[in-house]
Amino acid sequence: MIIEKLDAILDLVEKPARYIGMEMHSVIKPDNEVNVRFAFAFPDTYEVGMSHLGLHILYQLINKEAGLQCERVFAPWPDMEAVMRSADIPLYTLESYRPLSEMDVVGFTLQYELSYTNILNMLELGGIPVLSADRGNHDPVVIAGGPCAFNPEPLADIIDLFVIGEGEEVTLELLRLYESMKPNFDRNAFLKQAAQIEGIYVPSFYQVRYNEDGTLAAFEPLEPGVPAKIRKRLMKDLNQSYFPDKFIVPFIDTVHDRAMVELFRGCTRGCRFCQAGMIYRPIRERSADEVVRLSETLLSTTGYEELSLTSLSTLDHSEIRPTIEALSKLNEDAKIGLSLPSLRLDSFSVEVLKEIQKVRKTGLTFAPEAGSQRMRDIINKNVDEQDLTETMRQIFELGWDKVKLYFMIGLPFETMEDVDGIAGLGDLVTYVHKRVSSVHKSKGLSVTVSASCFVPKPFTPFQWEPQDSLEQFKEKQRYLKQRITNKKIKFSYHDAETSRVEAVFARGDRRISKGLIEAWKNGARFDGWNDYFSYERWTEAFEKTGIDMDFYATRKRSYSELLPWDHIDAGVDKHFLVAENENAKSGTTTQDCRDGCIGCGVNVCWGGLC
Amino acid sequence: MALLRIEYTKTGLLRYLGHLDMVRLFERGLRRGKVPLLFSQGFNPHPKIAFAAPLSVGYSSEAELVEIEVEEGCDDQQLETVFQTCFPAEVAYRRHRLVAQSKSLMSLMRLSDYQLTWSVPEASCQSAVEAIEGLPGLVSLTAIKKSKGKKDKEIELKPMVHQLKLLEKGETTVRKTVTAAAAVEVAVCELRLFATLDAGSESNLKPDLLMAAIASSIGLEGEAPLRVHRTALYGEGGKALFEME
Repeated sequence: MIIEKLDAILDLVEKPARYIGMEMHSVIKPDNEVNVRFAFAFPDTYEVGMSHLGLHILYQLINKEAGLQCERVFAPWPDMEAVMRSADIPLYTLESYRPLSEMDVVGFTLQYELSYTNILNMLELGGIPVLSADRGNHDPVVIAGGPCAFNPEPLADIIDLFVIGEGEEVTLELLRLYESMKPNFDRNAFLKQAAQIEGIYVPSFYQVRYNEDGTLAAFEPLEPGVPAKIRKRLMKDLNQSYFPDKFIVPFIDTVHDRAMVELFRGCTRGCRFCQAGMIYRPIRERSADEVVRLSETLLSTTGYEELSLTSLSTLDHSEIRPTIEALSKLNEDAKIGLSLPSLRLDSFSVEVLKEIQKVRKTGLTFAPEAGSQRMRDIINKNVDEQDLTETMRQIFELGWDKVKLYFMIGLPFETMEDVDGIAGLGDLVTYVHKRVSSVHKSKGLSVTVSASCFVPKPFTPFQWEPQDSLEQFKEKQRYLKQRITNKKIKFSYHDAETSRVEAVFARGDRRISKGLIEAWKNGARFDGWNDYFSYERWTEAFEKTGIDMDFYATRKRSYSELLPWDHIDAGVDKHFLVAENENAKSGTTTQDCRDGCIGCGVNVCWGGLC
Repeated sequence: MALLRIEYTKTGLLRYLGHLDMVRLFERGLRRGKVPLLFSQGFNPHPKIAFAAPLSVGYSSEAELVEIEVEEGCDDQQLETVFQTCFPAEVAYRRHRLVAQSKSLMSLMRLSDYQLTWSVPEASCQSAVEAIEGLPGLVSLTAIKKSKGKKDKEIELKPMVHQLKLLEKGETTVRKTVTAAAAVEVAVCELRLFATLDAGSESNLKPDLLMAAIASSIGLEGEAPLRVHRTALYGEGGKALFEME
């Protein structure tokens, strides 16, 4: 029994409570009530995975179904992995403590490209063959979904089937199909049936041919009856779709350790670098009444002392004001804190902050994304210097003194002047602070300017654009380091090498899985964690497997090129993405689609959803 | 305002929860159970929950104490039900009482009882038994205490040990001892001990440190895993902490 073995080893690892399960509202059904066991697999630590809203939704959704059991599994930290290997303990789920190999279906969520090596590692530790082709009728079916599944190709040799889009309905359809076919299970027959479900992509039923220059020549179904294009799934009406009335409450501190209620899906802003803003279209809101009702229920079942209203741009909700007012009243007596994950640079944000942070002045984070107006027009971030100045002035007058500003470097068509604008905005913020005279103004000021390296993503207007080379990134970082001399400003930046590997996978095709497997065999895991990422390991792995990183990262594609993810239908028209890329080049902005339809194509697909 | 003193257990795999995890577990469990908690004033209101003595990660216990401030007139008869419905089974209610505003549990605490299970490699078993039985006759037993950011310090353990008794010497069995590097089969004998040691804010001796000192005094080689289970907390004069005012 794994649980008995655990007893002997948990003294040897840090944070042992990551590996024990047993939290309030975890669900463990008696064996005789379980027909299908599904493991929700998160390829990162427990603390990261338990902060993911999608896990909580799918977990409770599946577990309220008779006959289905959803369990959880996370990537063990390297110290635990070493102990598990030496004690011969396979990777197990936190509910039934069964090895992964005893699950019927294992489903990975793909949130971040740099967690792919953890997927391979978890499969191997769980006793499941790493390659899809090596799995037989007695192995679990390995599936994957989430945002990175919109370009499934880099994992095509590893994952048996992908779920494209929102998972609530399709996961249940899939598990029920499995249940009906479980007696004398035949993998191939199951995959064929599954491929008929909308939103399901079985990569082994398709073949890819390449041109001499390495670009894709053709992508063709091998099996009769499988769709040539796989359309994403989505929930049409959030008020009608499932949202849990309870969350598992972790024992240990997690990244987002609070109750979460999802305000809406999709985003209307149309930032051209943002994949989430494109693939989660159209906008679908949950009503204020429903949000308040769910918040009350969740707080009472979980005992959480903090509530977060999540979405891609929370303050854009059309009923945000009454929602926040109702929740603040509700929460005052019970001493519940309210947190909003995204703030806009406008006076409405300041009003809301006043409402929810009456006493505590925590640091505030804003994302101008680019330093110059020219660049912000290119990426369609409709914020100007006036907005920034005004917002800063107001928050300083109210007494806030810690501000974090997020930027990207390496955006398409960027010049050094645009990079310089990042430093300029930092200076501007300190200048605004100096000029504010208010009784509440704090004397100290700390501004953090953070610059990440841009990674072009599929299904965005920038999907054809080259990523900056390592040298370009480093030159821009060096420039900013020298340029930012203001003592009140702290400059932080992301490692360019990590973003380069991320870029290879973001727009990769089937061939790069060889490099992935090679890097994993050489010890790559937790690549999203600085302590474990090794760029040399990746360059060696790609070299050995004949993969040219520049072909994927820094090459400009033509509009006519067949892209590895062109068989996926995210709802947004390719013509729209081309038009938006052209608008970017000319610095023409596009309006928020709440102000009028911009013709992205989603509305056509689902008949007047927005 | 009323003050509830609760005795509870911490067992099974939940012995791996740290002190802060327990603070969270209590706050959230009591909130779920709609216990009318009182909060601290100030920028960041916290419920007033005070534990007698944080238990090290990995130790289990059948007699932990906590005090929580609740509204006057709170129906404390519901407390056992709150534990049954809103807490994990491994953190179980034992008993409680209403106390007058008193000194903090932590400042009243002096001693703890522990049951220890020490798995000693066969080769060192006899000398381990002799060292334990010979402890009362020793003038001094020292250990090196490591603390973060400070110099290692030699400390005298003897006055902090009030009792260390061998209850039973188990049969020798062959067991797999796991480290991160390897798993090795070793013949071990299991020594079951009972200890009463200083505990509390004035003077505190963790069983780990005591057994490590004994192990090094006999030149014990290899791993000797120790399982610790706390059974009682005492105040001044050996009086049960639960009863003290």
